[in-house]
Amino acid sequence: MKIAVLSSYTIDLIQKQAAKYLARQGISAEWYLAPFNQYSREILDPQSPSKSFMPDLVLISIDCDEILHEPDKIISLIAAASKQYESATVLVHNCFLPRNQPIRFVEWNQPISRRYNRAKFNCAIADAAQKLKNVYILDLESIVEKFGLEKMVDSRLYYLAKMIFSSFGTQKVAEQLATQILAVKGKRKKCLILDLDNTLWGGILGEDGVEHIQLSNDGQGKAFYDFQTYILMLYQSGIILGICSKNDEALALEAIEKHPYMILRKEHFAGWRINWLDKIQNLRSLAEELNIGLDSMVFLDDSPQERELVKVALPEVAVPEMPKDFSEYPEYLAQISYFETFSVTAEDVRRGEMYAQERERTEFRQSAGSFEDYLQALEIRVRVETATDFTIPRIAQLTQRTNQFNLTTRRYTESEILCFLEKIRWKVMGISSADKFGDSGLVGAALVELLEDNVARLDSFLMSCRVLGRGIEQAFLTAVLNTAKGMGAQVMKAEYLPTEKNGIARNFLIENEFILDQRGYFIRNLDALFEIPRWIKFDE
Amino acid sequence: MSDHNNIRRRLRKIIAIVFELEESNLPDQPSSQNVSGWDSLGHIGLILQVEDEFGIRFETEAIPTLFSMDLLADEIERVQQSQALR
Repeated sequence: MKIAVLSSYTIDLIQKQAAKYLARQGISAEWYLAPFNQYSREILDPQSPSKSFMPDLVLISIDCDEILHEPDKIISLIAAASKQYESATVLVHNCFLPRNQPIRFVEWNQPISRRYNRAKFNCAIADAAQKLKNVYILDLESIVEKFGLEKMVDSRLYYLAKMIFSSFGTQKVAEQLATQILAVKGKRKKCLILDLDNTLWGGILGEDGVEHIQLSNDGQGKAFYDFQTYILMLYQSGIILGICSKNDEALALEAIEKHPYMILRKEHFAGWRINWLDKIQNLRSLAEELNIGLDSMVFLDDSPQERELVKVALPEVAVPEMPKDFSEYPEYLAQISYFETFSVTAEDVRRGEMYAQERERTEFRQSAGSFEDYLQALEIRVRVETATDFTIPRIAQLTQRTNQFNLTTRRYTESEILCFLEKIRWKVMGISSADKFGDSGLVGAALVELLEDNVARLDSFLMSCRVLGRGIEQAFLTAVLNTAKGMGAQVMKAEYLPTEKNGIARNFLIENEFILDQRGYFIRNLDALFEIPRWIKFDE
Repeated sequence: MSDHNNIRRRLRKIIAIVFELEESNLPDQPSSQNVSGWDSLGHIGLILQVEDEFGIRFETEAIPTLFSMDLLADEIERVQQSQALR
């Protein structure tokens, strides 16, 4: 991960803190700090040092006091940066610091007012971020709002060293920066596992009874109601929810279904372990059932003992502390940064629903006759198409998240995918699938590069595990091989880069008559392609 | 007088941590002249760490004059005394 920082003030301490924070998350970043105040040149000059550095992320941090009155200048710089660093993510911080005007009572009455111009400025750069694909905002305004200007800045350091933030402020800004860098890397957790008593509601269900647990739309119980509302927002942004609780299952499910103020119902949970077994065993088996790694899980439990147990036995699982006082629960979720992301795709919004469909499919399979009868009866339809503006975010996300059925596990950002698309010799394809139980959305992606001498190289081929085993992966491979043929290739050369988890993808190549050559590539002649499984229909 | 030595002992620790050095490798009289990394930027990092550690706040004017452990120690004592009076 390479990060370039273009700044108009001294940002070294923030950079150091952010680097430490990233190291703790297992990311070692390489940094380029442009000389003080050289940001215009760095952005505009195609030969500038930050260009040859080839960053994955560019942070533009300009002391807003200097540019508050010229938003146009900064907007055009941002637009230039978006183009000049087209395969990078560009992060721009917004403006937080209107030192008050000497005569405060007319602050908003004058067009030169700092507060007024700050509001205009922040809107203008937000507009730019909404228009430009790879530009995002580092929201200093909201950090300062949260902790207060006095705590965040240190005017001594400004006049001594052109630093803006206090020791405390440096810490907070660095944390936010590091979190956003992690989001660029697609290091988002997938799954939130929740305890019940004193976590989703107040009190002990088994002792207090359904009607006496604290959960309501006003008074103290509202804290839990609001907490659940926030969790629902995470669910709607693609986080899979599960339960791990020491409770009586029938009683707990009854509370979840019947309590008038439960926000989260059975339909929102992809799985649960409500029993008296230890939580370590339960988390392991939940991970297996949901087919996700323990390292994609976050576990929330009010009990410090349970947390400690899980932390020690399952270090891969993220176990954040919980506030002691439940009134802090709702706000708390905004502070744990495991679920930050840069884009919420259409698939994210519907992921929970898709897991529910998956349960229905499993039940249906048990009632159908042979496996092929079942596949026929599913009425599977697929659509294979070149990546578009609508599917690029999801394709990038799949490259970042798919660990098992993934030949090379190359991780790409949206901007990188966009770059491949513009190259004539490259094809970026996605496959969507649907069946009688519902639409699974975009479930696979492939990147193909046509080399010299009629050979196509399979740079990436990956499928979401959810849909495997129904012939969809064969259908996709056939479509991809056909496309390579259409590009003029006679041979497909597939790369396989082994990881701990992706052996299944190698087997798939062998099943489909790819042959390992001496140099470690899997080769397949494109003369005789397989037919697409009978039970799958292609949508145009 | 034990207070005086105590401050120095704590300062040595902080200087070693901030500049990522072994405490035993620090010169007897550490200063910006003989500690690598103690440049103007490193100085600010050190000052902030010292302030956090001692719970004090230096004045703007003083900060750019405190380029050695001894100067820092004297200033810490001065600030502590004036804070105690208040």
